[in-house]
Amino acid sequence: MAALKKIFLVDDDHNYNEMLKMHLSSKFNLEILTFSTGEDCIRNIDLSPDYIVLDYNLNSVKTEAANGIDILKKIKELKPEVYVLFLSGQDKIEVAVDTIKYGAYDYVVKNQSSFLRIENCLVNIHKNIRLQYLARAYRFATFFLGGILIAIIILAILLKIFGISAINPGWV
Amino acid sequence: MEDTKVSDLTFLKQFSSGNTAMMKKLIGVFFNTAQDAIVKIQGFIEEKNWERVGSIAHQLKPQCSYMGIKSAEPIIIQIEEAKHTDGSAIPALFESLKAIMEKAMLELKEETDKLA
Repeated sequence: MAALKKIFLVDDDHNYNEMLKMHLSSKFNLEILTFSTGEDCIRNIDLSPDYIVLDYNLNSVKTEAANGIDILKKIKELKPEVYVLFLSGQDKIEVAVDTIKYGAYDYVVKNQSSFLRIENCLVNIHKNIRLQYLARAYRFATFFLGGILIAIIILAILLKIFGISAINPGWV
Repeated sequence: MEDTKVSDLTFLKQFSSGNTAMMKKLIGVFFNTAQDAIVKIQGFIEEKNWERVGSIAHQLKPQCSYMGIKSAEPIIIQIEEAKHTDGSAIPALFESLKAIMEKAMLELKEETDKLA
C-alpha cells in the first residue's frame, strides 16, 4: 500500500488552517499537520512532508516570527523536493513573482476560491508526479527494448560471420 | 429605512455542504478571531503602532470574505495602505470597520441560533 501523503498547513490564521484542513480532509486521503509559525514548520521538517501550504504573513500571533518568503527559502534549502503552495491575503504581483522565484509551486490569494485552487494545485501536482513516473518508465522501456534489439542484431551478424544458420545450425 | 445585512453565509453554506455543526464551529472561530482582532487593533491604535494595526487588519480580510462581509474588505485594504503613511486616517477607518464587524457578529449570532 502506498504511504499516506503528508501535508503541512502553515498559517497564523487558526480559522483558515481549520477550514483548509476540513476541505482537504473531505477531498483527499492525507496526513495533515498544522503550524502557526514558519519556525514550527522548520522544526518539524524532518517529518518529510510532501506538500506545504505556506502563508506570507506569519507574525500576527508572534511578532518576531519570520515571514513566508524567508521560511520558503529555508524549506527549499532543507527539502528542495517539497512542493510549496504559497498563500497570501494580498494579490501583489511582486510578492507572487518572489515566491515563484524562490521555488514555490504556485501562489494562491486567500479568498473564497482559495480552497478550490489549493485542491486543484494538489491534483495537478499529483498528475505531474504521475507523468514524470510514466516518462521515466517509458525511457527505461525504450532503453531496455532497444538493448534487446541491438543484441539480436549483433547475434545475427555474428551468426552470419561464422556461417551458422539460425534455422539449421551446424551443431544440431 | 431598510436595515441591509452586512454578512452573507452563502459561501459558508456551500463550503460546509450544509453541515450545521461545521458552520457553527467556523462561525464560532470567526467570533473569537474578530473579537480578538478588534481588541488588539484598538490597543495598537493607542500605541500608534500602525504596522501592527495593518498586520492584524490584514488577518481579518480572508475571514470577512468567508463570512460574506464584503463592506469590510475595502476598509481593511485602506487600513493596510494607511500603515505606510502617518496613520492619521486609521482611527476613523477602524471605527467604520468596528461598526461593520459588530453588526456582522450580531447577524451571525442570529444565524447560529437559527441553526440550532
